[in-house]
Amino acid sequence: MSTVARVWVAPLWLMALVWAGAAHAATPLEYTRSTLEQARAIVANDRPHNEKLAALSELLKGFLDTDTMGRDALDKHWTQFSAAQQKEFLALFRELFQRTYVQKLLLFQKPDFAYGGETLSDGKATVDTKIITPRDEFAVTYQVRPAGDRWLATDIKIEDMSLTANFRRQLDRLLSKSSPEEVLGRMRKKYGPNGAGGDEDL
Amino acid sequence: MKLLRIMLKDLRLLARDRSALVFLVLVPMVIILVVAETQSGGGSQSILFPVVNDDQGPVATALLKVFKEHLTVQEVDRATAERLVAVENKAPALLILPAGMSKRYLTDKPSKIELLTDPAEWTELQAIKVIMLLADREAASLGDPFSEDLLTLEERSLTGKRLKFTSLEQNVPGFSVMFVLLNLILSVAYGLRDEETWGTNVRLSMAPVSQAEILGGKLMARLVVGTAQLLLLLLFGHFTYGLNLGHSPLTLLLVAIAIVFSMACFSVIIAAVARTREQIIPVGLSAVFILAALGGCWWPFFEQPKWMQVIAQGVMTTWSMFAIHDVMLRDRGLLEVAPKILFLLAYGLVSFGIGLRLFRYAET
Repeated sequence: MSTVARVWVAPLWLMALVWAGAAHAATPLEYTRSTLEQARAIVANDRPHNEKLAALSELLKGFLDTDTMGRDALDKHWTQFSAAQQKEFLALFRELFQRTYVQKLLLFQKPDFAYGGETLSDGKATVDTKIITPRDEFAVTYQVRPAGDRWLATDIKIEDMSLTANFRRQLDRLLSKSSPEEVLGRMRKKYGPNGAGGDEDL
Repeated sequence: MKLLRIMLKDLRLLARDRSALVFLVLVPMVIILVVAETQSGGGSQSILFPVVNDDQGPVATALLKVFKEHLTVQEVDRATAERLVAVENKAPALLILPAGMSKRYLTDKPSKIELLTDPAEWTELQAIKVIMLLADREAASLGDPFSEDLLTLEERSLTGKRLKFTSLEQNVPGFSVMFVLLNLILSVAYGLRDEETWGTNVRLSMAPVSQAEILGGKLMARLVVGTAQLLLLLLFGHFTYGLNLGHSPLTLLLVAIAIVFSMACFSVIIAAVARTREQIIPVGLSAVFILAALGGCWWPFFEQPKWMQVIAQGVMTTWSMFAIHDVMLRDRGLLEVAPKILFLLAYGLVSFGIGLRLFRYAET
């Protein structure tokens, strides 16, 4: 091959590789389906509850965009938090949201997922799914945004109830009578490194 | 030396009464067995807990999983559940998990679950409430940790107006029944054996009356005394501790008569088994202790392990306590208590028949 030909062919190969990669990047539906099917396999496993919890948390780290959710949940109160408090809040919120979602998922002993369509708009997407039990089905909608070759969930709606909006309502109520530091203190107790978890209201 | 001889003579006398020796060891052993089984027996697992699962969703499944670890859970329809609690009194409470509870829970909307109770079974009810608290905590840890209570419990009595009872309401009737039984067994047995000592039985045997009439007449006197004793003890509980005696004095009177009748007639069997005066105390006491323990006079009936509850269905103290609880705790009227009154009367008649066949005066 001549030098001229090599000069032209090399970039073409590179372009072809990039195109092929893009062509095989998962769609929002495929990525959500892949994550949920892995989640289903974990939930249906006979492992102890705590092991399932840990495995699901690990899996969902690559799917839940809890930073976006946390900012949305704080909404107008976001600016009341200092930069350090915001950082700590997002870390604690990640733990809180994952635990909430994962534990709700674990309520279903052997969940079956059904997948509806995906709707793309402004670079974001909505994926409709269902959790099917022998007697009933639960609609779960994921709002996702692209992040490299992945899609990250920025909100989850269960039966049309947005988890982020629900946290927003609760945090708004709490922050109307407590300072950001007090709210962080209560979150630390439950979801910090030595957090005890628990079920009492924050 | 004299001291030793006297001791040896008395030991020989004691050794001749073999049945007394047997009861010396046997009675405490049986009592220890019954008490130990009750105190360490089935625990909460022996408590039947009917659940009406109208939800059939994952939250109901999670709750039921916790209940099943501690209680005997039966998923039934509402009519069956109410019958088990309010009519048959086999379960202290039933739980209704409403339709759509799981969906509401997962979308952070509160649901009301109903606990319909029979407060007369108050200790078992307490156990159920503790387990419900445990299940609630577990369910809460499964749900949204920020959230307020998503499951609220509404408690309602199926068998009366009150939701709670005290241990006095178990102990006063329980010990009253036990002391009446003790009085009847000892007085009937001693009374009959004393007649051998006094020779009255020989004179009576020559009189133109049947043995059934003789024994029946004697029992009638005991029936009057025993009924008065039981009513006085219950009145003592009423005036001293404010215990409820039900809304119908007539029902209470008839229940008292039926209880004492069954016990007085049963006393003839004990008098027949204890063939000498010396045997009356060991035989009588063992009968009283075992019947009181099995019948729920010392502790709530449902605290006993299942196998003991089955055996206890065959003793009159159980039905006596059931009838008293119906009147005092469940505020039931005559018609509702009538089956238990009839059972106690029938129990007495059968016992009298058996006692009549077994009882013989010793030859004088």
